[in-house]
Amino acid sequence: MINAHAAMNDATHIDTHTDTQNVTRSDTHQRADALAGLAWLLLFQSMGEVLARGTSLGLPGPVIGMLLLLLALRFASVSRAVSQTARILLEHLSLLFVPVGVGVMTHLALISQYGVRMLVTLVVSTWIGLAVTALVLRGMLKADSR
Amino acid sequence: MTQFVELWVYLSATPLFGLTATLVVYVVARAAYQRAHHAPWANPVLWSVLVLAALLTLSGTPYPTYFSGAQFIHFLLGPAVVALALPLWQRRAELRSRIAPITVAALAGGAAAALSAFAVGKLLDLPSDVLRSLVPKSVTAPVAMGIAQQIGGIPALSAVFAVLTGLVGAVSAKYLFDALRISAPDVRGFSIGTIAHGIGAARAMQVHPDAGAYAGLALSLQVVLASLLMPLVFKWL
Repeated sequence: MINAHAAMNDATHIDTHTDTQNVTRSDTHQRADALAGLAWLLLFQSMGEVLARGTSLGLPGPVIGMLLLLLALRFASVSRAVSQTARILLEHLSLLFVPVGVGVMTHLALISQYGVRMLVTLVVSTWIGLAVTALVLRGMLKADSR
Repeated sequence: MTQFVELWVYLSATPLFGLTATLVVYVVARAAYQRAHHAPWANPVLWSVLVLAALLTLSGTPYPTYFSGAQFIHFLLGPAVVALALPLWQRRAELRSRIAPITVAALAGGAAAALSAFAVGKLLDLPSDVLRSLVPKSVTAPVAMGIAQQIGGIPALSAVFAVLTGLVGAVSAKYLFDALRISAPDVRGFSIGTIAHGIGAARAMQVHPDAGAYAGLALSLQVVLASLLMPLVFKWL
């Protein structure tokens, strides 16, 4: 990031000295924020795990953590610290599913026995779910706007 | 040659291998996805899973060895679920003004997906523990595992079903919506987030900003609704 900015400044022949310094400072500040953001997310997840175990809410720890964070986001200090890390995590959300997805290879016995039936079930129920959600939402939004 | 084999045997047993392989394969798959102009069939998760599974099978690397490295990526699913508070918070005004349609659609869609999976699976004579692992498949993988445990499914199998459901949704939703003449990006995004969770939402974010925002909101909402209601409902089935 610093290099990219510096290179850009060089290329456009602006007086790079003060500019590069500013970029460097704001960049370290941002990086510190990303770290603080991760600390906050892990803290909320940990609180969620403690509550999940200590109570009989029946909600998984990370979900309780999410609800706690939702309550805390009204405080500017929390939302400022969390937003960058959260954005990065959610931007690359699909990468996080790869390790579990590869786990499909451990169920080869089950797949060779029931593979086609499981796939049919998955596809049919996914389409039913998509269609029902979309039609219900569209219908209700139309009724609302009338 | 023997030196190379020894080196491979050493490297493939360290956590470094699983982590590196996952990241490198995913980065390449993502580049190919961009090249293919985000065509649904080029989904980077689908191809990463296929390539990595083939790689492990061909090299005879057991999954636990791979996972000892890949777990560092897997671990981030927890904080990512916590981070889902952000899309809810950012869209709170819309959520408030459309609370009834959104909640009813999320409940109806989530229930339709879970119950139809249970019914179709039962019709096709799938064993009970597989059926129960299918129920939470529209909820994002880490939460689906928790729900599966509570309702008598196999958590690891549920996680795989969740990823596969996300892929089916991400790859086919476009055609289904086109066929049903559903064109509003907010409705499309919300539906794909409700049913195809994070993988569907990731796709929606690339297609349209409104669709992406609604998918994120739907995904967060489904996580809360499903983990509250599914254990209650499926205890009785």
